[in-house]
Amino acid sequence: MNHNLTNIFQGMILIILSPFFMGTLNKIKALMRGYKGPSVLQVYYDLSKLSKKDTIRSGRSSFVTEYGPVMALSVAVTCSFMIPVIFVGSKNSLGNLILIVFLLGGIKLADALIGLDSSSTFGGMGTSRELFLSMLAEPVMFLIIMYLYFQYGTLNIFEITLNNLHMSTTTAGDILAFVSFFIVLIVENARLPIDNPETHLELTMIHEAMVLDLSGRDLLLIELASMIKFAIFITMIVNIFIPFGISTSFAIPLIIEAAGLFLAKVFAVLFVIAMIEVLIAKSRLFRAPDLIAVSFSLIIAAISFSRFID
Amino acid sequence: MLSILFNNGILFDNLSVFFAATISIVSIPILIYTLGYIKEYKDIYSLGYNIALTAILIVSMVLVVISKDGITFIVFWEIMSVTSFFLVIYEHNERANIDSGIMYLIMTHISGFFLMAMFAFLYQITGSTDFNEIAQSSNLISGNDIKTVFVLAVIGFGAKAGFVPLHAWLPKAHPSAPSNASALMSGVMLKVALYGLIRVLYLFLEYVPLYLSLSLVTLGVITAIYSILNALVQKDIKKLLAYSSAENVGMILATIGLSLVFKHYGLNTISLFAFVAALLHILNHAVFKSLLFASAGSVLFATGSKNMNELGGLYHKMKFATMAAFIGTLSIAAFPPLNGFASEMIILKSFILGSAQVPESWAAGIVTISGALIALTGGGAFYAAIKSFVITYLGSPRSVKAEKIHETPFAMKMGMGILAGLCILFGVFSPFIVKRLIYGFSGMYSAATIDFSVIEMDYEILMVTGIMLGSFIMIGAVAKLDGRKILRGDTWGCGFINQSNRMQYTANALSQPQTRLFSKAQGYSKKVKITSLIHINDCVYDTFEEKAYVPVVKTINSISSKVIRIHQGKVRIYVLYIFLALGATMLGVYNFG
Amino acid sequence: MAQLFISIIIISGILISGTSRMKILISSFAFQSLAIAVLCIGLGYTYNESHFYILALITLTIKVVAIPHIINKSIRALKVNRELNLIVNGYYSFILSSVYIIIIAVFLGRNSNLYFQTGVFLVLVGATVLVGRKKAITQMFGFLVIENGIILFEISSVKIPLILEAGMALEVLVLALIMGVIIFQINKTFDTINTDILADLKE
Repeated sequence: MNHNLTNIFQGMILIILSPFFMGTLNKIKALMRGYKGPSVLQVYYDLSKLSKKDTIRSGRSSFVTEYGPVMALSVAVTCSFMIPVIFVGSKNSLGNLILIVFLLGGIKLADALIGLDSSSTFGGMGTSRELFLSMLAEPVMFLIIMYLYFQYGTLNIFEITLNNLHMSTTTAGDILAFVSFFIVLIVENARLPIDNPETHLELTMIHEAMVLDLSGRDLLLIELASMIKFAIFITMIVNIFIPFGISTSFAIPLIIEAAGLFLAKVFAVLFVIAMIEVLIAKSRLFRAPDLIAVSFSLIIAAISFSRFID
Repeated sequence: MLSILFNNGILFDNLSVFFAATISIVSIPILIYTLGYIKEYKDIYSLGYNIALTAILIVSMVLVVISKDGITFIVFWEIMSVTSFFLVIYEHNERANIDSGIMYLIMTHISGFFLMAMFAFLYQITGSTDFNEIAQSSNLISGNDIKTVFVLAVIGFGAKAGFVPLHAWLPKAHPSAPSNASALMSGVMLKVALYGLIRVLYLFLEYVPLYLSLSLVTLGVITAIYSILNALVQKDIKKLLAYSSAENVGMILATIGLSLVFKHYGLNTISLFAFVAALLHILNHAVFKSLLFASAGSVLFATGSKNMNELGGLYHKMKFATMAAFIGTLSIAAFPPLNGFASEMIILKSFILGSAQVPESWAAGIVTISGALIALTGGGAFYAAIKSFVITYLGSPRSVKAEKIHETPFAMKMGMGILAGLCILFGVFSPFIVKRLIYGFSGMYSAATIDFSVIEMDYEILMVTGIMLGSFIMIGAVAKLDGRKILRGDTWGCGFINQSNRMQYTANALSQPQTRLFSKAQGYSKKVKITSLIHINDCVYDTFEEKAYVPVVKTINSISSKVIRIHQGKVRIYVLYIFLALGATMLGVYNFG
Repeated sequence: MAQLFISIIIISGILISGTSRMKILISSFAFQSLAIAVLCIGLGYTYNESHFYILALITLTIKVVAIPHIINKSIRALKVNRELNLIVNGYYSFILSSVYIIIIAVFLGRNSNLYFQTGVFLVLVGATVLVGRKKAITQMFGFLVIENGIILFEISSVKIPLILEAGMALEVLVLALIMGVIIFQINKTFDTINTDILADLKE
């Protein structure tokens, strides 16, 4: 039995929820800092406000600004259909991890092109920083996939989740790989201490710099794409490393339980991210490779545990 | 004439046919492209000369890969080398082109010398120059002979394919040649060298020892990393592409080495898989690299400059070339479902499968690390590809050259259009190609050891393409039809009004962050002088060239400057030399004859 | 459960190998020692040996509480909160630690246990910190991390007599104190705690 329709359905849910995750993150951060903060639905309001506005494009921009945001969003949507959220079937024709990672690179590509498209000085800065960091993060991501293959014998994310579900013990390798993946999540989604998503200050800009010249609908699409990307990464980390409770059949109570547990796990991850963002200041750009190197060492250690050490 | 050359017949095994097909697939669009491109040289250089040489180059390449005999192989190999040399010095009015042409000529001679030595050595052992006979008597080659053949082949073919440290001619010769020729040289001629290497390593040698295969992997990884780091700091668009070609050659070499490692361990299934990955990348790289060189050529045609810092904003005036280059860029940046992704994915997959199955831990460790470095190379290629596209085609013109644009002829557009179409086609339908290749080359291994179910491609990429296209159209339609107005304004300068085009990021600036980490390998140095203005002067040189080539050349120069003193210019002195030489010869004949 | 603590030890080891911030250095060291102490207690419980409990107690008192406290105090007095100008910069020292891990995994992977390998890793990291840093305080951490590695040797099959271990632990404590005094003296004399300055003492 093939579960492609179900996957598309749960992907839709993820897409709808992704602004909610972002709102929750903001809310947690606000509460930690001791103020009330905007509602968790604020991100939805922002998006709907953007959708009501006219779009203004730079006269020097090209087809990249016109179609880049659409491309980014369609890539994000495609990716969200390829990962398990609350249900994992036994047979899936989608879900190759390498393909997912390279597809997510498409969002980066669209961002990077948009950055220099309107011949703005800030855009170039964002592009070069983003490309620099993503170049260094590439081997780490590859090694994580390799580790997962060693551990679970497959490259399909659904099967990885299933196999992990049936595995009772947690090894040191899993923990190390989890931390490593978490660092990659922070780097790829331009969170603190790599980039400060809250400001438009020249010193901190990576993601914001690239989309500085977008407005209205274009901005809506690209922001939604990066939110979905964030949600995809969180879902991946949750379902690859801590998949317990995910539903394997269509029984209603199981699905509800899986959904509840999924949200709880996502909130836990968001809580950790919020804590890091509240506690740590943005570090220099040239400190960021250090962080990536840490995650590289961690994943090397994880691979050594699962492959070379009996 | 031909019947004498082909008295042994033509080789039509799968390997030859695959390479001949690759050459033809790329050559036909490039030949069409050439017809338009040569108009750039009207009134300066001979046009017939260019077309004739290009045609001879293509024919000789095809003949190299289908020749069945060592002698004919060498003959066509030399024809190929010499023709490409003449293409490199085609624009002979510029001194730099002559220099790089001479360097190229020397390197091809080194290559040719080692190849002749290799065939002679093979003849000595097997008693034949015929490829099939050598392959049949491969059991005669053993022990140290294998090492000798291996080293001769790697140096001989490596000098032509651009393995580090024999690569220095590549980033000089390819940019010097006219773009149609550099498209052929980068796209296909490097692959002909790889063809030779594959034939020797897989068919002539019965087995390759483990440490030699691992050294091949290491050599490939070093080539890939070194070249892509150097590609990142270039500002000459064709030089960047040339370095990127060397990177891809390194990647292919590493995959071939990987396949040999697996073969050593008897892991025939994944050995075949890695081999097919290398072949697929050979095909795909030929397509997208010649497309990128062709579009670089059209930039050169339209603006007369290949320095990215003088370009920019070409999209507005040459939409077609931009779209072609965009597809090429997406492809080289490994964006699914284009062909660059298709082969990069199975290369990475073969590394993963390999390090999971190689039994000895130290070998598996090397494979793992090589895989990670190949992934880093992939990241670098992403960076370099975006750099070359963004700076050249997007933004606004950085100099007058980029504003005054000549119309490109239709033939060029057609050539690029075909190649761009092939990029998409080979990407989306890659599962079928992989399947065909796997069944085609499974004959190289004993059939019983291959487990086809493991390496069968799934057709996921087709589905993903469908979903992506569908969502692209849907989102695009919704975004278009929402009834909101689209206004045009100026670029936002954060409150600054007098923005000029010179304030944009340049090629050097875009690749600046990574020089912090890699400047040593790149030979990159930067001098900043602050007076009332800030002057930045950065220069890039090839580390290997500076450290290894230049001293050798200097030594030779100093020796020859001493030798040159015997030229006195007086006739009687020369007569004396003649007598001395005659005497020496006679003495030699008398003593040793 | 042991796997969790092993991974904590490795993460902290990697962090120690390249970080330039004193705070991260101290807290990762404290966490590392804590993990080792908990591991010792766990092993004592499984094997029912008092030996391990004593080891845990020593580690807890000296390395989790006393030394971080001393160093925190001296840092506040000296106002050193980060180390600049590393001999090997952060990025490459992290990569170096991954090289250590690969070497250990490939050469020791098949015929020794996890504690031993982790111990070797910590010793190598400690040596790197000793060689690669200029400031006296960070160099001291090299010794401390090596000591942690030796404890891991001990709880693997390599048996070191308890009395030797206790002596070593005390020695490290004394070392920390002496280092503290010397660092103060160096700082008073040279206005810096960069040990390369000591090279000026030669004639």
